[in-house]
Amino acid sequence: MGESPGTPSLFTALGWVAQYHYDAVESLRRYFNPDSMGSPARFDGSHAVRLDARPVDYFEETGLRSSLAILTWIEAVFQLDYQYRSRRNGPKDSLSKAFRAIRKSGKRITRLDPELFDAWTKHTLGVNALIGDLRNAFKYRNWLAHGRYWTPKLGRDYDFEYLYRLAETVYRNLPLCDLDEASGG
Amino acid sequence: MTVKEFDEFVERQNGTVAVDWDRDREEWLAHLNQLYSNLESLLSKYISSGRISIRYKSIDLNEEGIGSYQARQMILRIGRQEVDITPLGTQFMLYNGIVEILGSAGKSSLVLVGKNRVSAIPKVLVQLSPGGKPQDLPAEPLVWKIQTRPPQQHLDELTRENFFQLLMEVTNG
Repeated sequence: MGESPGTPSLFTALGWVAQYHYDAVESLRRYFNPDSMGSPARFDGSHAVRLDARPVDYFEETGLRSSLAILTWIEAVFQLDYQYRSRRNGPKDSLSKAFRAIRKSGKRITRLDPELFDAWTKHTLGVNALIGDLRNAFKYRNWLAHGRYWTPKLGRDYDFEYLYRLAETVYRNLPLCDLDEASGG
Repeated sequence: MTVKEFDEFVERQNGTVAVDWDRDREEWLAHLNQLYSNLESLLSKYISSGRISIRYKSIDLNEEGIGSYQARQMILRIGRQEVDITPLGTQFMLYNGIVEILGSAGKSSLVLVGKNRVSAIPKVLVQLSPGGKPQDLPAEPLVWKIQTRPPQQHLDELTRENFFQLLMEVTNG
């Protein structure tokens, strides 16, 4: 499929999230490395405030933001696939038929979990472990997207790298429709 | 709820294979011990001369299904640098276990995967058809490999050279 300037394919966009993440981490590391440019300082309105503390929280914060970006990418992929399959003259497989039934039911918003994930597990073979991990990861996404004001019960840790790989696992293994066509790219 | 839906529910529950969580945990901890022995062996020259020291700390892990348990964290001291080698768990869809390696300049990870796997992205056999049984990929012996950083997705063998390289990267050596 062609890729015009300024409209990256969805998969290219995923790679950009990773590139941005690592550039941001490396920038922070250099900024706070006294060997590279001296001790950094921030102007607080009237004084220069030295920033000598090791900014572990900045790295964590960057990881959390990048994780949210990855999870929104995964959601977009499933929603685009849903829109494509649920068209009136969409594919004839049972997943697409299930999606059309969801659309016909008249719901204004089709949620990833439970509606789309339920349909994937019911109408395809071999996805249970992957969808199970995605359901759990989206509890983490909800925590990130809604202000992190509670302690999520996830049963495991998620980080940027794991979520990136989960996203690529979705892209490379699920029989998704032509996502770039579905997105009008 | 229809009778048909209930029938499908009963069918699914009967088709579900009970998981032996205790066995999963013990196998995972055995793989972890094997990794630590391997790393000690790779560093033996430096440990015996006192230029690298190793200590272990017990940490709590809590995973879905397995529940709470304790595992060992390995801490390397190389001069003024400290490197934490921390198990994160075994219940991951992408691999059979993961250990994070954190130094002052960054982090990396080792993953427990099938011997022949070369990519951090697993192969999942998915069919667009209901009914039937999902195909399973053949089981392979598990080994520890080094994950490269996304968007790269290949897995490197855990050799002496690759592990030394990893330690230098996470400590900015």
